[in-house]
Amino acid sequence: MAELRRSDANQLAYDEAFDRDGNVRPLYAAIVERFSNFDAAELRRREGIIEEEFRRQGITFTVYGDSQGTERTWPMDLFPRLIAATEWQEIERGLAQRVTALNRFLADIYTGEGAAMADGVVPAWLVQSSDGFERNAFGVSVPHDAHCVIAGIDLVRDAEGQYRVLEDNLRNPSGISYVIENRAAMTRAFPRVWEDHTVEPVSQYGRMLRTALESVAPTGAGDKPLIVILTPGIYNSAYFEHAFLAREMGVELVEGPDLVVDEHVVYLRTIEGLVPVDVIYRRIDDTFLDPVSFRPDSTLGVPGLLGAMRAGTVTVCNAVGNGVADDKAIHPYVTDLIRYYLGEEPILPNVETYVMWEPDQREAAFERLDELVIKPVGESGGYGIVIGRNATDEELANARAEIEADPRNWVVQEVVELSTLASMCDDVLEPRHLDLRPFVITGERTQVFPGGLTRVAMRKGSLIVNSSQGGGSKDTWVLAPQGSQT
Amino acid sequence: MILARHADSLLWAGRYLERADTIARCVSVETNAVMHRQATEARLASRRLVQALGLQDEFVAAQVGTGPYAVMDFLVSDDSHPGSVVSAVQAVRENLRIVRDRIPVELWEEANSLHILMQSAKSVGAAAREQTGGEVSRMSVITARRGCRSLSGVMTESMSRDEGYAFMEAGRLLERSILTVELLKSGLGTGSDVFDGNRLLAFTHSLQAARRELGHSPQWHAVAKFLLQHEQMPRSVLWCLGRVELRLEDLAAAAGAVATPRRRAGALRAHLEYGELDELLGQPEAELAYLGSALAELAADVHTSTVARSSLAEVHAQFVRPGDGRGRPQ
Repeated sequence: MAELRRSDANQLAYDEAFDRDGNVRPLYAAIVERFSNFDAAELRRREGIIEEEFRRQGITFTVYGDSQGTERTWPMDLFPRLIAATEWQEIERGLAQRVTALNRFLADIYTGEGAAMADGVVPAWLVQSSDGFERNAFGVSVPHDAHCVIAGIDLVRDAEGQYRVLEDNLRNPSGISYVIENRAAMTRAFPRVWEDHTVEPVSQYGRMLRTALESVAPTGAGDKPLIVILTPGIYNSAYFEHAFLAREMGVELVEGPDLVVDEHVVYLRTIEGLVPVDVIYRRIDDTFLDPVSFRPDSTLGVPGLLGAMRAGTVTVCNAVGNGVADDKAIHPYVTDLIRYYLGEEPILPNVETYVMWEPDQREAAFERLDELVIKPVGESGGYGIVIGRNATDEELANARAEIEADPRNWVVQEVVELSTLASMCDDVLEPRHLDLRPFVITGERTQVFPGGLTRVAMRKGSLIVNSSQGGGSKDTWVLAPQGSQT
Repeated sequence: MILARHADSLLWAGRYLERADTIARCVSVETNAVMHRQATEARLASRRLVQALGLQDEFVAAQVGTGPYAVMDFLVSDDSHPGSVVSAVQAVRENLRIVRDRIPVELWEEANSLHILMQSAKSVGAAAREQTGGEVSRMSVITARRGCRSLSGVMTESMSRDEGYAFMEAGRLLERSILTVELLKSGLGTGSDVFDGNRLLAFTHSLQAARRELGHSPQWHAVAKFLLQHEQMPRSVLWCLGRVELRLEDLAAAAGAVATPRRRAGALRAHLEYGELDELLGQPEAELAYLGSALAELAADVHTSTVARSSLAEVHAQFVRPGDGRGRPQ
């Protein structure tokens, strides 16, 4: 049988499958039992089946900076991640609450009175100085205030196993296609593991998203609105996902040049001529969306699209300007925004974050910078981050100087020891760090899709789970409540 | 409803699929013949095939070696030019990738699998392939032929008969007609490299059927009539044009723009169906040249009349603008 290594007794991080004494947690008892019946060669063989399937089906992402346009598969780790029904209900409530408040916040900024700023919940200057703040979005209302139809909220578990929000992604969160394809691959490679569990299905995403997109169509659209997905094209790293979503929803996958705007109406160029479009689920960034309003050199977008949006003839999802609400500098205020808009206590806590423009917080952080994580707010994908305990005195001094020079540009966070779970590494199953990105869909109401994308760092000790940096993913099972039939 | 860009991709996917299939079949016929012939003679015949497939410029540019299998390798595994089997398969795959959300999953997966297999043969390298005595390219040919058959099987059995199908099938049949006419040309003349009737029938997958009607040693004239005018053979130009007309008819309901290619296809079909072919083939070069250019124009027409409009003014000129009655702010 394949060796299944327990986490070290002195590991700081929470292990999902084993408790501190090395005993299997009840949630994982059956799956650990299953896996202990496979030897390493057998697991490798099944891993091969999955890899081969992914390649054959073209479930790939394009590697940037590679002139060959190389397509790669994203490794899926065999050992699944499990979430108990009760635990999930809590996460689900927390995420729905959070995204509801964030949508209220966006509506408040762009089409409301700016109440949260006026009441001092978030400083107005902070909102207005955000890179994601978009004047072009002023006055553009969205049905049901669903500024963010598709949100991906990154969660991590701290050393006590508590789920915390690391980051909100309210612009173009990707990864949902892997959630669904991972489940299909798992089913093919391990047809019998399902005997022990009842797992919430994931195949309904296309229907769920389509319903939400239909619900945000402009009032003039009629009861069968025309929905399209706008992709940058086949060379985009997430093209597979765009095509996947178009297929799952049964809608057209279009590129910028397929659309044309005339007198504030967006049309699709078909062989029959021009057909008016009602809803655009765009997978390109704000700045490329419309060369008239944003980057004039963009060939991906549609000239005049913003005008059409403003005229109310088309709904663009996610809405323009959402970046202001997932700004890392706004993140520490989200829990207060939940209290402010909903009058409820936040269910999911943030990763503890300090803002550097508040003198008290800054001084307190400077006292123990070597224990904290320093993040530039304008970067993503892990760039520019300084991890205090790994940094030299000089690096810390530099970081401190940079913070003092431009406090708006930095936040400082407590270190989170991401939880670990057994993953296949060189013929043994060893604990590796992971996170979780659930997807939250908002139309007439806000719904959380069961599970989400679990990303895992395949290098030992690494906290970097990004696909571009050797990360993999795991099939994520939300177990159905006991006694329920799914 | 179909996006103009998607219609274009499917048209070309159809054309490249037919091209991959035909080149692979011709190479497979030629390779069998090569084994039984002198090297110089074999090479001459292979060059003639290169010419028939319209690849002479690419052939010169590629500086193909002199080994006995070099020409076959050029036609099968050389992706430096767009006329090889590996390039055609790649083009099929790229075009289907663009429309993968709207075609049956199996169609995409078959094309992708075939592409992966062809690429792995390509990656062996030309010198290494030559060393195997053409074995690698021979296997590629078998793989490609089988792959093309699966693709057309999935296409026929699982594609909805919507506009996308109409474009893909029209593309296939137009490409087939064009290649048939070109191959027929290579049977004209008196040189030792002129293909005989049986070879032409084998290239066009018609040998078995023709043998029943034409016997074992058909002359060029009989073969030409068979390949141009036969009413039941899916390889004959007349049969292909009849089907192209039907597909354009399917599209006509949606796209008024196909009226021009439809007329052209009808006229060309009538020329073959009612024209005195015996008389026309009295001057075979002229007749084949006419058919070749008429088919090329028809193919170009299908493309431009439906998909190549890009300026708004052109679009407006051609269509009544929809959407006005939908109660929208204008």
